[in-house]
Amino acid sequence: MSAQPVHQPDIDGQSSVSPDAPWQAVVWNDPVNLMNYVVYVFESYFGYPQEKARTLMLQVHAEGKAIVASGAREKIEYDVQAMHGYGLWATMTRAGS
Amino acid sequence: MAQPFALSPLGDNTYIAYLTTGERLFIVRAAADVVELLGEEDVPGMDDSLGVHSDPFAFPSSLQDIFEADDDAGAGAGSGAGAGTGAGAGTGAGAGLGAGRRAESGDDDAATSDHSADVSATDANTADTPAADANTADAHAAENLERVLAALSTQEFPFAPTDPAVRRLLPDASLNPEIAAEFRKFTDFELREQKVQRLLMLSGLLTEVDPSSDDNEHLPLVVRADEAEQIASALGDIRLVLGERLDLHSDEEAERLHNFVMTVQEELLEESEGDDELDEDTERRYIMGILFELAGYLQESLVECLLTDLRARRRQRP
Repeated sequence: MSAQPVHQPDIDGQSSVSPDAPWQAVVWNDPVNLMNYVVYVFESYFGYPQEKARTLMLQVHAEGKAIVASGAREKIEYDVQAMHGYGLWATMTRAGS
Repeated sequence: MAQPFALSPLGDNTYIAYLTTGERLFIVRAAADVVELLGEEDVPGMDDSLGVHSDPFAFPSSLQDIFEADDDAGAGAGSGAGAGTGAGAGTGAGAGLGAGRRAESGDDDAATSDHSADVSATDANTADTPAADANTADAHAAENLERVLAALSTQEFPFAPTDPAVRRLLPDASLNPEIAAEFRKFTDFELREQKVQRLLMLSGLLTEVDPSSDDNEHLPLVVRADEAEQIASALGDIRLVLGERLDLHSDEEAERLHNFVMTVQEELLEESEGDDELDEDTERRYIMGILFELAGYLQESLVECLLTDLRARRRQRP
């Protein structure tokens, strides 16, 4: 993974919500990515234990999506970009929205 | 059929699969095609005149066709995108807007020269000023200004790709279009570069061994452990493009494709003596299907190697 500077100036005027409200990375199901690859991504990139990675993968598969990470916006942006790099479809969303 | 990746017995931190020369070339061509999609589709400022198949790995036309979106699907405004024609249309539109911007700027200068200086074609802050004016000349200027701004944003911000296969490689990062556009602006180039680079790495490894004239001969594909993740992801990107071209949008459709490939394969084996030919659509789907399965077979076995080693490393230092 290349290290890159935080690239998101907070300019989108979402002042009504607390700026430190956590964001979430959501991974969506797709019929192409292999189950063991998705597990590998969750174990390798996020460092999740084998069981957690497998549970998340099964949740994506069965429910169509799963929240795989949460945190500050910059971190979640970075995670979503990494997921796209791996070929998984991920979106970022504000917790509770 | 290829033999899957396994840890090298030499203990040199490599994983080795065995492929026939035909399988090798098949994947190299697919990788080159995905590279081409990533390089040409909707890249703002891309010169359309570079032509469609300038890549040295360029597909023979028959195989090239396989990866292009169906013509009838391409007719829709949203998905108008074969690897060749769609990319051309997309970038053509961009170039057109760009050229339009310059022309309109000229018009605006003329149209506004006898008005007060509040309408400046290059000043975004005045965007809604002329619209408030009932004067038709100003309304015209506002229209032009809108076009100018649209063209500018087109040039500064990467499009969401119009080809659904490229869109699958570079998906929206948010259900909120503003956040998705912002994200794209900052990540589009880097993601394209990352994907292209590892597809080229895959092609490089596949062409390290001289081709064999015996297509039953399986030759090694050696992947170093530290590049295996990139190779697995490159194989995944090839599958994403194929999956889109094969209209695989549900797990059931993927399962049906698998059964289809198996059935055709059996039929072909049984009828190898005869010269029954597949009709064009069936053949096209079959060839893409085989490649989809082959890439998956290699990816899955490579990922098993990666997982085994990753978990072993973690056990050593918990």
